[in-house]
Amino acid sequence: MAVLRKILFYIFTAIYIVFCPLVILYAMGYIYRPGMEKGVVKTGLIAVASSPSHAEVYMNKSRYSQLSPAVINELLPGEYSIQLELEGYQKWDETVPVVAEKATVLDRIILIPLKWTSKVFLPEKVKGIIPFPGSDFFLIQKGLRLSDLVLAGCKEEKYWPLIKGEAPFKEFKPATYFFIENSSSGILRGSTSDGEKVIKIVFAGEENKVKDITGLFPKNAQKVKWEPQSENKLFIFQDGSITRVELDTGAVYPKYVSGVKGYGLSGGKLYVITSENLFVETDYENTGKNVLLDDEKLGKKLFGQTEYFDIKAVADDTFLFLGENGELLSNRLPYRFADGGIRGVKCAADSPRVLIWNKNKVGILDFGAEETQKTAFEKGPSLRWVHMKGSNIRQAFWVYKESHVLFVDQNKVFLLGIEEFEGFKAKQIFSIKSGSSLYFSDTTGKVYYVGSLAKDGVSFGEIVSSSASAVIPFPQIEEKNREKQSDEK
Amino acid sequence: MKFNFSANKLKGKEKRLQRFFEIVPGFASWTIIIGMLILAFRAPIVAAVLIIAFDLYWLLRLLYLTLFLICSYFRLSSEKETDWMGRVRGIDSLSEYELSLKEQKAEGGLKEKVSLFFLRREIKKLGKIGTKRAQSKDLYHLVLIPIAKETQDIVEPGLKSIALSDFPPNRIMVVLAVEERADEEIKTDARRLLRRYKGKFFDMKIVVHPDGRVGEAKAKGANATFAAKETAKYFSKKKIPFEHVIVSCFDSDTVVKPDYFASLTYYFQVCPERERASFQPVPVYNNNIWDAPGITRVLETGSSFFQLVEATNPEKLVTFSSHSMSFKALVDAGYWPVDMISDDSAIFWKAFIHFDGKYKVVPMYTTLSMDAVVAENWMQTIKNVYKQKRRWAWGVENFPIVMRAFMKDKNIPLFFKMKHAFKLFEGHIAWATWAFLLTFVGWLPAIFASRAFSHSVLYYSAPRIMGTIFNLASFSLITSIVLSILLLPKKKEKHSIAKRIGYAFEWLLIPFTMVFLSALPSLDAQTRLMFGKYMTFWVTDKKKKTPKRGK
Repeated sequence: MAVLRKILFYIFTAIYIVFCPLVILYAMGYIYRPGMEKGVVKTGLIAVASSPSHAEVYMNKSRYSQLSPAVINELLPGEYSIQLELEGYQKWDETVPVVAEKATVLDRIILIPLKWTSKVFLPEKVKGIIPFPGSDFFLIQKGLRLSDLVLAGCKEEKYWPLIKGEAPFKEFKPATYFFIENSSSGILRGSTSDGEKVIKIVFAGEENKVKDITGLFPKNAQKVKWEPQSENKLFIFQDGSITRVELDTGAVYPKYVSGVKGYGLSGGKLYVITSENLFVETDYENTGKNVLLDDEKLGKKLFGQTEYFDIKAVADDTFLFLGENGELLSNRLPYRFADGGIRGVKCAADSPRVLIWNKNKVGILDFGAEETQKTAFEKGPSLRWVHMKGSNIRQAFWVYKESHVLFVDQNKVFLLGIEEFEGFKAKQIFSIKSGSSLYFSDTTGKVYYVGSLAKDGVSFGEIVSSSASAVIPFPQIEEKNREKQSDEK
Repeated sequence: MKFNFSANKLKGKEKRLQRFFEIVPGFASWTIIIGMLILAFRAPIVAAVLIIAFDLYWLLRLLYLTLFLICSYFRLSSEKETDWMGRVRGIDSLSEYELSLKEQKAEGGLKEKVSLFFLRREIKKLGKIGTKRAQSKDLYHLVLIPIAKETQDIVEPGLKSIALSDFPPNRIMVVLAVEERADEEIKTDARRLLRRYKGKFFDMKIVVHPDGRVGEAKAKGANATFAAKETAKYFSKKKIPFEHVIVSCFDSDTVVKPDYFASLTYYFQVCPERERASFQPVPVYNNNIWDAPGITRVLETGSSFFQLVEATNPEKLVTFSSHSMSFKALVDAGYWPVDMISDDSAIFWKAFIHFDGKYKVVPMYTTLSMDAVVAENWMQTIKNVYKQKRRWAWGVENFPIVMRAFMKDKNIPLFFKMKHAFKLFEGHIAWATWAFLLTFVGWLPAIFASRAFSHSVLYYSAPRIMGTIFNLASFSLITSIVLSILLLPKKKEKHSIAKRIGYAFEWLLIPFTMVFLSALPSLDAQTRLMFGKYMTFWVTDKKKKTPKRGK
């Protein structure tokens, strides 16, 4: 036995010494290529995943045996044409580069249906919908009064009257809606026969809580902000000062901060641009001020020309300043990204990227891009316009883990992939009622809208398939089944 | 070499050295685990490459060990029908036996041929070496059974099995080594057993081990040593030479087959350096295996497999659990350590150091059966299994002592020292880390991949390669399942097919058991040793479902 053991030990050791480097090299993309140009070559791969999944994958017109999601291994560096085909959907094709030792990842492809199919959500004629960005609810406007508003929940795919029966605010006519992202409550200012009223509604679905906060609300409030985690602490901007309102105690602190020309909330902190053009961070209690920009000259250069800025935190140390005329600035180089015209910004959930749009263009500002960190003279990120042929872009949304942008231009809805290699091609997918808004739920991948025909009620359709809304979570552990067949189709 | 085997009462450099080597295994295990965790986050490409290299090594080692598991199992089953007592008698008149073996043809199949082949080889070797032969009529067996908490129903089946031995029981002496601190019920049980079995053996005694003796830990080794010393006086008085006594230190639940002592006698007789050797049977945990939960069954079978594989490598074999040795060697080596938990392996190292490396363990291709861990309920069983495995893993306490001894001993060849030290060290590190690397840490680079790594070929190919490696490793798993079913005793009641399939599926618990009931207790033991939190002996709670025997 001892002799056998020794012999086998040496055999197994030899196998390990030979195979281990070979397996590691193979894992890194090295393969042996037989034939005329035989030798060891470096390879790359292409990873493909689509929504919906199970699309046929073609590479250079040859069908790959796996359906999406699929990993195509052992590809020599170069360009490859990848095509995805699924019955009932538009063909998706792209020529992609393959680099040695790298994976070309196309794992968030959205296949667009040949014919947009939608379902009826509310089969009644409506005025429009009011989306609450980042929440699972939106409002459907059937008329002008509060009792004409319907609350829709996209998770439940249900709708309920916003208020029930003879509620005291039945005749309330909302004129202004104050919402903030990811909050499931809203503040509505409007009129009743008794005069102007302000109410706060906490959306719950069937039983929504409505509270009259008129007495606490300053008359000429221009902006109202709060954080989703502390919904009863309101910071209201009016005439260059901020009033703090505690809804649970009824405490009102007029002119809580004065000399203000812009503000924002993030992580329990209040950020303010002062009338001296300084940028200040303070806590909710307004103690322990921290001046983040004390250079008055620079402050004047950046903020001097504009009356008011909205402040948004992209990351802990990165802020965006959106001026009232659509100016877009940041505390990161090159500070000024747009001189005006910006209509909206949306921060990505998982990365320091911002979706930006103006009347004609959709763009991406990526604060995490490598060039912002590794150049000798820091230039900062540049605003990358990914669509420039719009005529009246009104809304835009991140879709499918920020791999696509859904936007409304005039009354048309477009989908734009922003991880594509051949340039960006926005594809129109359907139309909505002129001037109406769209609600997109990132949670369900569904879009809700008022149809383009006069009789249309609220419809909904699927942008991202619920069965394939996730990216390839983990590389497929399967046998290599690369089986190129000639395309006989 | 004269060596202070005890880790207590060390001073100066010796103490520092001991402490240093106590820290080394735990430190190495934690470094491997934490190092891989850090690498998975900081340098995932390096981590993925290391993991592939490790997984491949693990696969080859697994296949290598599986081959020897098969060989060893075949060897074990080839001796299943052996007439050990016939062999013992044959050796008593060696020249005639040699002749008869030459003429003897193997009846039956391959197993019988293999058995005969090894027998002829051993006898030929014995004939060539002119050492003094051990005649069975001169030999005595001493069986020491340390008792602390074990009641009559645990101890009696073992005594009964010894009394039914093929080897004449009137040449077997049994000593019940009872702890003074044991409950009165336990002592009463021992006295009852003495009355019931004394007449069946050469002699039977109860030796009560006084509690709190200076320099002793509350360990089985202290009890066994005290009993052995007392019995040595008895043998001296009876003028029985120590070299004629084979001592077996059994766990109290050990049950032997009728031919066990005949088999032990044979291995003792054919071993040329029988006074410099321990004899290690294959422990199986079959006494109550059908009452044990699946997890226990898989773990205990795994332990038996480990011993089977180890048996194929006598050069590095170390004693484990119930084992036997020459009483003379035991006395010369200074008995079992009295302040160590892992007395079973420690006695080997103690003898190995005492005899300057000229000491070995002879694998015996026969089994002896013990109880699997079974407690009142499933949760308690898991807890007890954890504690038992931690106690076994506490065998790492031998490492600092052995290293200290190796540094001092100039008579053991350096290569020999390195080989043994490496095996001891690597065995414990592998025990504590491999399961974590295979089931958990190895997948982290893929799970927490940065964008740079997730866009590399390695990110996609590493899990595929690891998947292939695990698929290949399933050969070993299937072999283990088949062998485990073969090794399990037949249950009196018949099993349905579904139940049998269920037993096979128990092996799917392997990832869980390996992490939580093998690697974790081992890491726990190493960490305790690293921080100087020394363990005390914990008697495994073993229960039988059968009703208590009448007293």
